[in-house]
Amino acid sequence: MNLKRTFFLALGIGLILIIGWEWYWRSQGRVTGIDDNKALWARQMNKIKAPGTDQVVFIGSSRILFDIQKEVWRNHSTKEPIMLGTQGATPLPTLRYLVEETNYKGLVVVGVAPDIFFWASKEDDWSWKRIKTLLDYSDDQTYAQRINQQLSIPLQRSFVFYRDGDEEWSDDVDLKTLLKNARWGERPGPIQPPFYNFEDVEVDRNVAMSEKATNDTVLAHSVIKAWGLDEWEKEINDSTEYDKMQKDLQLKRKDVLTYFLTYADQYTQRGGTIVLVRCPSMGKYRELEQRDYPREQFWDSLVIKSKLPAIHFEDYPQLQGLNLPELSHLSKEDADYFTLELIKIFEEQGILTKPN
Amino acid sequence: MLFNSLSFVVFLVLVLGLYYSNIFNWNGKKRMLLFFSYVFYGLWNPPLVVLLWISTIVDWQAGKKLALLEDSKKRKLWLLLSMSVNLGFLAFFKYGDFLLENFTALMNLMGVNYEAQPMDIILPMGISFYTFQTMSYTIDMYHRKIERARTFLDFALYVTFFPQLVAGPIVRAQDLISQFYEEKKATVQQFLWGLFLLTIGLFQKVVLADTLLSGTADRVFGSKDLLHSLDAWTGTLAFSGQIFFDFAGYSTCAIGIALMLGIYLPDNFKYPYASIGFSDLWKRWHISLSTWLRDYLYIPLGGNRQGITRMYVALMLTMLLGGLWHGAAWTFVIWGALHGIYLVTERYLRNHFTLKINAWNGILLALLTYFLVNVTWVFFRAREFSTAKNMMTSMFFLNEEGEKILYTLDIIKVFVVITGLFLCHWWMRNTSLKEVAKKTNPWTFALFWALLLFGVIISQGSGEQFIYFQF
Repeated sequence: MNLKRTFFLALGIGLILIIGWEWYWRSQGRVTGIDDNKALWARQMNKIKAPGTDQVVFIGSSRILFDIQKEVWRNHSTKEPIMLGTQGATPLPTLRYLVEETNYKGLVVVGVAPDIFFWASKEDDWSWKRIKTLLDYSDDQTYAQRINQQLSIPLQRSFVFYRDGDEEWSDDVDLKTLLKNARWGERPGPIQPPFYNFEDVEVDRNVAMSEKATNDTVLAHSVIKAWGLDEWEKEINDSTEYDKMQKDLQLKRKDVLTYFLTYADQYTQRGGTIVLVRCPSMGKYRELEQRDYPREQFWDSLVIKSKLPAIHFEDYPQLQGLNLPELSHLSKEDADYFTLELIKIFEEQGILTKPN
Repeated sequence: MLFNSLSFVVFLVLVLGLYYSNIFNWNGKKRMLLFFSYVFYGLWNPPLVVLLWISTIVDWQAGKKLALLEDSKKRKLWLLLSMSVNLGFLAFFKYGDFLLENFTALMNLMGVNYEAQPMDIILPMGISFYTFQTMSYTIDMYHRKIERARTFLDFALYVTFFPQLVAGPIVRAQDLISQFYEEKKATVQQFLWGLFLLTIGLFQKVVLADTLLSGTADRVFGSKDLLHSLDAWTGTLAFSGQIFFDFAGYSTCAIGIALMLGIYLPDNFKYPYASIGFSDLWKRWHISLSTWLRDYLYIPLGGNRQGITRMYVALMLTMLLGGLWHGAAWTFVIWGALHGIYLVTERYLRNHFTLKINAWNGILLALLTYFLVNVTWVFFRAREFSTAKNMMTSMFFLNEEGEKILYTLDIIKVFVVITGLFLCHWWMRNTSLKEVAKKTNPWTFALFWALLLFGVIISQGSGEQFIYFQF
């Protein structure tokens, strides 16, 4: 057995296979990119644990994540932005964590997306679990995991086939996702529509809508489909079910308010500042939000009870008519504009001071 | 640090580079290996390296005394000290919460209103492995079966040698320490064979366990519902494959890495799913643990030399404790008990019936063994008894009304992998990978190797921890 020869043959064949694999996916229009994974999130959290500069922390779900552009923020404000907003996640556990597990007492911007903020009231809710996983990871992260992430970044930037994500986007090309996408039949129920990646991520966890998602209406529609708006709309057809859902929602609203106010009070009492921000949504998404989470009952009630400074996009003419290709998140261009306008509003309201 | 991670690739290249450079003499190389073994462990949780140091110092000292002292009482005391420290670590770190939980339950059962806060103790990675390894040294020293390690460096490296530190194989002192006495250097053939073993181990872990099987097993065992029989069976079969590929994958990587350094580690798995009966299974599954339990528990309990009843009791006790070794939960004890019952039944049948094994009844018996092993995996994998009960109901009462949670492709995928696994084990039952490799055409072998590598690279995975790290 001449292993030397075998090894070099294997190496050669292996290289050919890998190069072919990379070439194939590039020819399919896939591009390289950084994955917004647990380790990237933990890097942001670690900056709060060891604050070195004047910071502003963003918590909430994907709207705050997409709609705040960190470079614009850095260029027009003196505070270093820390992005802890996460797709599909409620900000409540992060607020509790900031209050109980850190000494941070700077500015916290809480993104309020009604269907997530007021829906997730318990630890076993999906939106709660998502952020809990990240908080736990950040607490338990090992040095080896930190090194792994550092090492994976150049690979993510160089190879299309290399992914380091936790999200399993439908257009990921790792073997597990490819097999998952090859499902057929509806044995356990209807197959969920594919959910394609529509974001560009930077190492500092700045997330923006990709150019493709902004300009390609097919991709934008596939994302809208993934929001499940048609299914959401249908819930109203059965009036008994709808009444039950409304009752549940009122209970959840009460629980969420109690939880939020407890930690918001503790945070402001120690000298911290919290601002509530309602980022834009539009079309059918906005209609359904208004149907099930009417502003007066939910947002206004939160603002009145918390007595916190609050910015709702509907109240500012300069925040109207923005481009939300998939109804829920701003395009990169309009996210830049939104961030800048938000800074101006913060300055006008005395939340931020103008840089000299 | 995990073998299936980028940091390990850099770590291994660095260690191999230093090992094969001319910077160090043999003692320097051993010091370097020891230092990097601590780095390997410490990158997970640095303070817990202290436990390794305590275990090393206590057992080194105990070994020294056991070699020098003649007074049997004093010798016994040194053995007791070593056992107390190692078993004490296990009792506190691994079984602390479990003992407290059971104590509380017992108090409540007796009508005493007692409540205790869980201690939430962090479980040091691989503690069951390195404590068993060091205990074997002192026990063997006590029985004067082995020579004491020549130097502290050799002994410390024996306890901490990074390829097998966190999940075995649990190597005996005479098999490893003596290899450190003289300079070791892998030949090109050994080095490349080690690299091949590392590739095949990673393929087992990353592709077969994590990519193809873990999702299905997690989904089924994570369900709170009563499942359709097909889903329950698919989940159980998926777990049987996952745990084998995960653990055997780790062992294969460990053996391969050690071989790249010119060090031999013993086989830990020999195609266990083609076992004919349970005595055969335990000669093929986690061999280093089963031989440890045989030598240090089963035989001291009487083994098979003190009559049949005593033998059955020894077997049951060994398997119950073997179950508990895996984890601090009653489900693991049930797992051990089932294996004990299987072994006792098999011994009984062998004593009363004679059956000549041939290829035809052999494969049927292997299938029966595999079927019974799968029943035990339900208890091993279920986090709660309610899950195990639901699974058993779904599997054995052919629950057609149960919830269907798996897609058709998931079921096909699991059945294809598991059929392949069983046939591969049956085919390889009486041979070895090396024997097969020797007979294989270099081009075919190279293509196989390249496909393994390609599979690992396109699967990547998110660096899932090895299952046995928690034990």
